[in-house]
Amino acid sequence: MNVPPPLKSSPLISQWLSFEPDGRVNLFSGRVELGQGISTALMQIAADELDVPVNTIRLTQGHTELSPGEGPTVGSLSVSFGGQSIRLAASAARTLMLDHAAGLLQTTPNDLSVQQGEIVKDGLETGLSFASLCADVALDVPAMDHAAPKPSSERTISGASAPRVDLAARLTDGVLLHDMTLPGMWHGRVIQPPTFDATTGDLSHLKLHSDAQLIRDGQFIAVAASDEYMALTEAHRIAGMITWDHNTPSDVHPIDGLDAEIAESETLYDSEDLDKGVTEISVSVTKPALSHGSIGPSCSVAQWEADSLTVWAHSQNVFALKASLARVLKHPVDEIAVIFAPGAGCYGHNSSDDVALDAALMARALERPVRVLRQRQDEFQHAPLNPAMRTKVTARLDDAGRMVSYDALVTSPPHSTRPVGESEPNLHAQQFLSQPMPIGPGNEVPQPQGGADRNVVPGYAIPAIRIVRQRPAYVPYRNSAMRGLGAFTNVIALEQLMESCAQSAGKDSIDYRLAHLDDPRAIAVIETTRDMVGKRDVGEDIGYGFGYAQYKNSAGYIACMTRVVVGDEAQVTNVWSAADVGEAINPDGTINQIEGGIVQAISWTLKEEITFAGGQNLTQSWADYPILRFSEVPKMQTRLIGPQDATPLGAGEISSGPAGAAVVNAVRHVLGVVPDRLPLSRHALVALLS
Amino acid sequence: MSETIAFTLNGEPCEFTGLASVPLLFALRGALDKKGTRLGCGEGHCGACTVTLDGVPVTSCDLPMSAVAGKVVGTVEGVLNAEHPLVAALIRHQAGQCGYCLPGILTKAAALIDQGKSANDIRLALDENLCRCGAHNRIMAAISEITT
Repeated sequence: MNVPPPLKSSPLISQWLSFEPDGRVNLFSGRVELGQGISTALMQIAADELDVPVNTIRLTQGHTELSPGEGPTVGSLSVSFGGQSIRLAASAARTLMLDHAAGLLQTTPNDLSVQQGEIVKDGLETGLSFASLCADVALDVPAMDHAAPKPSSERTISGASAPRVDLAARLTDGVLLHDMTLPGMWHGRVIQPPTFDATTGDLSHLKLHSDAQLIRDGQFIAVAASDEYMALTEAHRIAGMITWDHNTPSDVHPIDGLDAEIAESETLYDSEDLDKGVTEISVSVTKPALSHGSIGPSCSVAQWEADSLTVWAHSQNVFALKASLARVLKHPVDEIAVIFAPGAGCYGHNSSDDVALDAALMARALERPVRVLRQRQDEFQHAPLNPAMRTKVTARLDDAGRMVSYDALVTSPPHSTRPVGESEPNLHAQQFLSQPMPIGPGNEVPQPQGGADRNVVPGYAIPAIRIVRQRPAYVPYRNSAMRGLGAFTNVIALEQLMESCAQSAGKDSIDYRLAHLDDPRAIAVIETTRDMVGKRDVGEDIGYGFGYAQYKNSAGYIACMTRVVVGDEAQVTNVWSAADVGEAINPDGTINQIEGGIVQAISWTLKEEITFAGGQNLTQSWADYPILRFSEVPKMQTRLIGPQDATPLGAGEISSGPAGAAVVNAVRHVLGVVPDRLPLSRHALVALLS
Repeated sequence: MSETIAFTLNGEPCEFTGLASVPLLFALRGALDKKGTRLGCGEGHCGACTVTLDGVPVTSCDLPMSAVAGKVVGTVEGVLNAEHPLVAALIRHQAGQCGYCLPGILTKAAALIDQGKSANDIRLALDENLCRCGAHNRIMAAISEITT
C-alpha cells in the first residue's frame, strides 16, 4: 500500500482524527477550503471508512497547532494526498475500535460491524460505540500498522454526489474570515508604496481624524481606526498627502521583456534526433500577466497576547506562513499560531499571506487586535500576478505526416514566489520595513510537475524531445502561482501545434491526436468528447475547437470541445468535456470544479490582461480588467468517465489548458489565422484579420 | 457631522447614527451588525454588496446613508429570514464555490424573481455581478427552476 506523503510526516492516527464521548468525530486536515469543496470530500472519505454520518464529523483545517503539517493546498493534490491520508487513518481507527470491542464481547472483529458509529453484532446493537470506547482506545499509534481501507465496491458515501457542507453558511455572515470580530478589534488599511524602491520622508506632522492612527515601520505605512470606514477614508486621505521618491521605472513592457535579457536558461530534456523529418511547423503563444481576481480582497486578523501572536488567515499554507512571520517579525516560531479561516476563492498565490504580515505588524504597533483588508486596487497592482510568458513549440513531421520531433522553448519568470518560511518568507511588506528583507526571485517547481514548464512535455508519443526553459531578467511585478501555473499557456501552444501538424498532414485533427496516443484513458476522454458533440453546425462565423491534456502528465485527463461564434468579439456558446480523474469522491463537486476552471480559462483566453505602460501597472479596478460575465458563460456538458476504483488523480486545475486551447483553436478555424497572443479580445481579433 | 438616519431594514424600523456620507455597506457591516452583505471592490463594479432599495437592487458600497433616509432596504439576511425559495434552490444546485459573490446575487435575483422577471432578464441583470469561481450556470439553473 502506498503511503501518501502527508501520512509519512504525520504518521499517527491521532494526528488525523479523534472520537468524542458525545458521538462526534474530530477530523484534522492541513488542507484548506478555498471554495473547491475539499471539506465535503474529506468528510465523505472519513465518514465512509468509519461508518458514521457526515454530520457527526467536525473538521479542523489549516490550524498550525492542531492540524497535520501537510504543506500547501495546491496542485490538485488535496484528495490524492490529503484525502488518501485520511482514508488510511480512519480505516486504522475503525480497525482498532473493532479489535477492542471484540475483546470486550469475546468475539472476533470479523463478526462486528459499525452502523452510524454504533458497534453491531449480527445486526444487533452491542451497547458499544466509538463514543463509548473513545477513552479506552489509544489512537497515538501509526496508522499504517492498522490501516485497512474498504475496497471501492463497499464505499457508499465516498463516490456519491453530496451537498457541500459549507455552502449554506456562505450565503450570510459567520463563516468567512472577513466577518470575524474580536473584542477591542480595530480595522486597518495599508498605503502601498508605488514601487519596490519608493521612500517617503517624515510623516509625523500628519493629523488624523477621529481615533484613526498612522502606523509606520520604514516604508510600511498603514492607517487603523475603530471604525472600518474611518480607516478606509483616512487611508485614502493620507495616501493623497504622501509624496514618494523612487527611481523612474523602466518603460519596457513585460511582454517585450521576454525578448530582452535572459537571466537563466535550462535544458530540461534533450535529444540528438531533433533534425529528423521533412516538414517543420512552429507555433508560438504569448500570454500577458493575469490577476487572480478574487472577488473578496484579502483579509487577516491578528492578535498579540503578551508575546504570543495568533493570526487568522485564508492562506493556502498556514505552516509556511507561520515560519515566514517568525522570520520577518524576528519572533520565536513557537509563540506564533496561524489559524485558517475561509476567504474568497484565491486560485493561487494572491495577497492572503501578505495581509497576515500587515495585520501582525499593525496589531503589534497598536497593542490591540487588528483586522486588515486589502483594497481592490492593491490586489491588481501589489499582489503577485500570474506571470507573462511565451511558449514556442516546433515539430518536425516525417513523409507520412507523423511527428518525429518536438522542440519547446518556454520563456517565463518562475511561477512561484510563495512564502516558504525561514529561507524565503516572501511577504510583501517585508521589503518596506526599517530593516528591509528583499523578496526572493522565487522557486520554480521542478519537473515532472513543472512550473512555467508544466505540461509543455507532450503526452503524445513523439520520439525526439527537447525542452528549454528560460527566465527573463526583467520582471517589473511580483510573479507567482495561479491555477495550473504554466500549463494553461503550454497546453494552448501544444494543442495549436497538433492542429497545425494535422492540417499539414491532411488529417482530421482529433484522429491525428489519437494516432499519437497510446494511453487508453487519454483515448477514452477524447473519443467520448467527440461523441458528446455529435453533429457540428456550419457557418462562416462558427468554429469548433479541440484541446486535450493530462494535467501534469500524471493527474486528471480531460478533453474539451468548444463552439465559438466570432463577430466583433469571440463568444463561446458551448463546451463539451469528458474527464477521467480516477476516483471522484464527490462527482458533482468535481464537475463544479472542472466547469469553474473552464469558465475561468475562457475568461483568461478572451478578456484578461494586466495593463502596463511607462513601467507602471495601470490596472486599478474591474473596469480595467473585464472578466467573463453571466451572459457570456457558455452552455457546458461535462462527463466523468474515470473508473471509481482507480486512484484519485485530482481535478481542480485540469481543465484550464484544454479549455483555453479549445477556444483558441475554434477562433483560429473561423479566422483562418493562427493566434499568437492572448487575450483574443475584440482589439486582438481586428489585429489578427488585418 | 453625525446625524441619525431612520429607514426600514428587512421590514423593521432601523436607525443609524453617524456621518450621512457613510456608505450603506459600511453601516450594515459596522454599527448595524448585518455582515451578510459583502465588501468586494468598494467601487460599485462587482455587485458583491448588492442590496435592495425600495425593492430595486443597488450596490451598497457607493450608496451614502443620506440616500437611504426614509427608504426600505432589503439585505441577504431578509431574503434568508423570509425563506425565499431561491435559497434552497441555490443549495440544491450547488450553485457556488467560494460563495463570496452569492449574497449579492441572491439578494438581486430574489428581488427580480419577486417582480416577475424572466430568467433571461435576470441573467442580463446579473452581468453586473461578478463571479470568479465560474458557478454562473448553476446559479442560473437555480433561478430558472424558481421562475418557471
